[in-house]
Amino acid sequence: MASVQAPVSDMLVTVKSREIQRAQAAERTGRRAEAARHFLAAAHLELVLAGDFEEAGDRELGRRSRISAASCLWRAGRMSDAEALFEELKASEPSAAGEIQDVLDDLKHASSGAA
Amino acid sequence: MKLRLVDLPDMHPGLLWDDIAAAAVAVFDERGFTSPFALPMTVENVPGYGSGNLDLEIAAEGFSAVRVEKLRRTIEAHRLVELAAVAVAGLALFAAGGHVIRDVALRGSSADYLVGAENHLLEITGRSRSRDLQAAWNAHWNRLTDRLDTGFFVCGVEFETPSGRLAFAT
Repeated sequence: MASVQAPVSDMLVTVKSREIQRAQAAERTGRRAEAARHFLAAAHLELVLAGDFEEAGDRELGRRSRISAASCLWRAGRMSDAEALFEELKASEPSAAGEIQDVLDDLKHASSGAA
Repeated sequence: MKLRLVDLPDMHPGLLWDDIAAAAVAVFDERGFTSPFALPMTVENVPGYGSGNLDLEIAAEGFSAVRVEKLRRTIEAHRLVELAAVAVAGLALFAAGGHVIRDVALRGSSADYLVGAENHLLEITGRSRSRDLQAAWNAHWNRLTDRLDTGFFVCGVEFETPSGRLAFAT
């Protein structure tokens, strides 16, 4: 992946990463409401970062952030929003559709296992 | 090389390390290893280090037995192993070239990381049993090779022997 300079904020990257980690920690110990709050915060920050990466010319990192945003939405319990974002991503990047579908299948599989 | 789990936040200040480092102590302790935990890493093509054997001696100081026991009671065993592998990856990356993990993102039910100013992707896998590591490693390596045409890291750790492998692909 190419080196990314401004306009991607290091502080935003750090805050987003920590929100994901807080969400994962809450999820691991069954604190679902707390996990959902942090996953939602992370999802929105990932969408901001995705735009910033794309503006900086890094489509790979932009796609990674959008996949992460959709994954965060799913794990926050917003499955339909997540699926809509995955579908939007597949439509905008047909060459990555298989990769994106694999991530969605993984989430569905993990959810059915946890149920 | 002697390293302390308690220093992970200084090595990689962008991430939260408290649970991850304590999980490593829990996993090593549970298998009867005593601090400093000896963990040989095979390092391959890592920028700033190259290839070779890296013998980590991982000190557990700074984590109370009460804290570690609480973590063991509240987190499933396989998740503790995954977290412990992240801790080892953090130490190994720092030891092999001073690489800094600066970002984590979700990818379905798992996570990946970005390393250094170059934003190289990193995937980490941890296994309880030595014999399970190769298949997990291959899955990560092959998937990233298929997907990316730029450099990436994979780190795999098994906690039976224990041992690990850190490689960079260009």
